[in-house]
Amino acid sequence: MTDEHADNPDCQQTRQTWHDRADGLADRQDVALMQAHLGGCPECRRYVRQMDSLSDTLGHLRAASERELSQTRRRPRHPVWTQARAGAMAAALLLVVGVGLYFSPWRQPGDRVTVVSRHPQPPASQDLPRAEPPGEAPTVRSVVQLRGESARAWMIEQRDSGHPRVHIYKLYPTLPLQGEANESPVGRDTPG
Amino acid sequence: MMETKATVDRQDTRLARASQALYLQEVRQSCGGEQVDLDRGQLVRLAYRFLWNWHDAEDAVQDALVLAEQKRSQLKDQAKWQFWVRRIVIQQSHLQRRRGARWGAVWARLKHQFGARQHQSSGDLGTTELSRIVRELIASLPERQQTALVLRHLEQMEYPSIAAVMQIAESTVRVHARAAREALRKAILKRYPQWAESIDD
Repeated sequence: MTDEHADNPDCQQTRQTWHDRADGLADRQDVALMQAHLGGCPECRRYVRQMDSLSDTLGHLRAASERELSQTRRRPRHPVWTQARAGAMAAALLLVVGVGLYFSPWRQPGDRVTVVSRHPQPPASQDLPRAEPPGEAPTVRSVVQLRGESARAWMIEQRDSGHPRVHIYKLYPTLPLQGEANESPVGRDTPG
Repeated sequence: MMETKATVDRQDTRLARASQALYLQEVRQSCGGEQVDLDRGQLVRLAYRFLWNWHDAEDAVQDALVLAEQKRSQLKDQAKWQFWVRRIVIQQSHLQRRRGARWGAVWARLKHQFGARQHQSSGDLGTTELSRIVRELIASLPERQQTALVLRHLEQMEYPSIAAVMQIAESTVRVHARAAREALRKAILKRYPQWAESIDD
């Protein structure tokens, strides 16, 4: 867009009047002269329309900034980022714990503990240690069987340690279970 | 290492903010404290007009209030305290914007190029879109023109008050405001030639 009319004194006066009017300084005579000039100068009409549009836009910008200010003041500082960071950290922690448990070195593939008897008969006296003081006889808790690579039946013996919350457990390999004994005639204590 | 440095920086920033808050509390207990409390909201709003970010505006006002109290002895006429504080807030806002512009220059250029291409292809310039563009263009004006325009059209201050804040003659403020309006008109036409056609009959 060319602006060759900016050098014309009448056009200059018209544009000055527009700015004075925007600042509240133009009197009626100046405004009347401006209106008269605008009737015959399309370039200045375009200029005035553009400046009016700009003035309206500045008013719109002012109103918009007021709205933004009132909305921003109610918002806490970085709430979304803080919540997202806490959630991500919790998810990462769960993932690490889960993977660590899955690949734990104490876990044998396929191993599981099965309680086959809650109240078995007490073991034979020759299988128990002899150094137990009288009155503190061990208690046989149960017989468990590990299955998988370390398949075997174990007898768990519980002893009191003197502390109410601390117990000592000892594991003793036992005879094959009834079903296994039938399946494999060669037992651990069977001669030959 | 970087994380440790960032943590230390954050702690330093918190300590600095806490010390500033304590200092301002002492200021409130002394003379002029009521003025600080009364004007703080207006000052943040003023800084927001320059920065368009609430947190940056708060930081600029915080720094400006501390600076104003530190240099209060240099103010000869205590009746001009309000104008003086506003002037420092505007200076701090310009400083904050320059800091942000220094680090975000590449991003802003990319964003500007992408945005310009997008708007040229759309061909339609709505009022909201025009406001966003004008906001960007205001930030690119010289600082005095920008200050005069913001104080006059966004803060709606009278010219004598603007002259007191800017510490220049009232006629000079009018010249700056007019130059800013002209510069904005030309910048919009240069960036969006379709604007002229859109407002023609």
